[in-house]
Amino acid sequence: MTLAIIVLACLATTPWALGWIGDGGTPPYRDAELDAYFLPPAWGGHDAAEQGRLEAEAALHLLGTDNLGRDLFTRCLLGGTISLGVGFAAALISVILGTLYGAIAGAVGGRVDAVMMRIVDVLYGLPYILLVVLLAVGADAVIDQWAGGELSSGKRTALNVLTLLIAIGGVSWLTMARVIRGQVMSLKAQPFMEATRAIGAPIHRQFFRHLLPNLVGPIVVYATLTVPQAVLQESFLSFLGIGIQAPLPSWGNLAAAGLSELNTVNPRWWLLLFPSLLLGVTLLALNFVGEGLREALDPRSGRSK
Amino acid sequence: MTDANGTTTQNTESPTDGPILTVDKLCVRFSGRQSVFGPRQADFHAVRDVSFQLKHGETLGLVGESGCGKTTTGRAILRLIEPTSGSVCFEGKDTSAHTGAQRRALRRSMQIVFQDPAGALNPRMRIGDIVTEPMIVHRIGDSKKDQRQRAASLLERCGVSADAMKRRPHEFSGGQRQRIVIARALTLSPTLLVCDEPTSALDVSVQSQILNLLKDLQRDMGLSMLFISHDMAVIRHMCDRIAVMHGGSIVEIGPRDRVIESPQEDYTRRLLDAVPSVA
Repeated sequence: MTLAIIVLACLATTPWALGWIGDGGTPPYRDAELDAYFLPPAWGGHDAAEQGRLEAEAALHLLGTDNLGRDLFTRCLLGGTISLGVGFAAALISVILGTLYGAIAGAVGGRVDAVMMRIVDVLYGLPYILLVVLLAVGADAVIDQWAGGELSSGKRTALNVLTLLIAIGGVSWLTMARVIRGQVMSLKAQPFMEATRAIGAPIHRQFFRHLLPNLVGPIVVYATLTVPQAVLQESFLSFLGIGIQAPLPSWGNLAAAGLSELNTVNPRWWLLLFPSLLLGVTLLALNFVGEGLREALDPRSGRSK
Repeated sequence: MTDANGTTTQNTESPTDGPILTVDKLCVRFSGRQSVFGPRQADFHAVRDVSFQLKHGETLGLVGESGCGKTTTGRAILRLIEPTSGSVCFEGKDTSAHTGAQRRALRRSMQIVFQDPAGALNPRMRIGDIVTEPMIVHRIGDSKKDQRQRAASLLERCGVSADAMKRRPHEFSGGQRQRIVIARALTLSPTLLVCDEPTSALDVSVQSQILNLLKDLQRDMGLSMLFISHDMAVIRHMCDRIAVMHGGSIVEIGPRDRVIESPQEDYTRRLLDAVPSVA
């Protein structure tokens, strides 16, 4: 069981780790001759013309190339870096926000708790995609107005990614807040919390020495379960064209680009298949890691190896 | 408050030789929930006009059926729950008038032993940290080493070997954990110990060990004890005086033998009859 989790974890992090390497190498770019630059995967059958071009280039395109002759393998790795990076960062935002909010609501209790949780309920009720779209589009408009197109493209992209991060993180902290609040409330009822009060321990000591260490388990578990969720949301938004913008790849917009190349005359199937496959496998692996962690950290379940 | 008071021999240190604890007309009321729909639920009086005194070195047993307010009384005395009305005087001072510093001092002289030893120890902390924590909070002991030595000797006094310091609560049995809880309560050398059903979560053979440990400690350290239990046999073994609680108030209070042998109240008689081991 443990072994399976580790293997899957490696599988999940490999494209990520490689992605950092792929990040440095600029994808080969040459003058466009319309769509003459498509190449199927290296191990697929090549016709004579394709074979000739391949030899002239002296390159091996493991997963083929796209409409600009860029290597899909490199693009996928780079896309993975961005997708996973956004995923992790958004999960981090949601964990910090959710933990703080939930812990405060649970620890204070009473009316404050009621008001805070009703706010969460209301936010839960809003369709989150709409919220994210609004946030992303709204932020875009604000940035445009504020900077007035004076920004370099690099800065523009960075801001774009940042907005996306905040939008996803700001929407996915709700579950975290609820879970943490529940945990805090059940911990507060434990006799050892009362014992620390009987000792006369100050509030901050109660919180950091007793409450927080007992929260680490659920925080870690929900954080790992939030990562795949955030990755999926990022890809989904990029697929819709609201997320990561075109020159920068992400699994979402790679898949979107692949979908547009899918036609009956000359289907470039590899452009859609590989990004989607990578995304699917990664999500699955991350979810398994989350499940495994939950089992490993649950004090009630015996530690079986 | 002073350290001189902490080093007790027998109950000779008290200047007036008055009671260590005076509880006067203590009330605890839990207000009923106000629901958006439906009528407001009635307030619940957990403790109603409870008054008693506890002398130095004495053990008062608080006995009654479950839900009669025994535990709530104990907690209100320790101010883990704020009493609705009434007063608790500890060593001649009203505890409700205490400022922050006084309250911290109060925490040093009053400690509690909980019913459920499994939940009373933080599962993420090592025994050594658990037992030294009160000393860290109250800045007792010169150094970390000093504190740990003190903790070790207290643990051994309570029948837990000192190498338990490095282990975590879940590695111990219920009886051992209760010993650790007692050791923690004693690190601050309190003068009053509230024992909230300290043995009801333990099996019978361990119960008597814990009870005897508490008795020994009381004798050696000159503790006064408020002993809360529903078990008449345990109460008879431990206490000098017995207070019988029913429905939030004390129905009968008196010396142990008188209460057990010639109960005045009908409820006490029924309570005694309900326990086969005493009859």
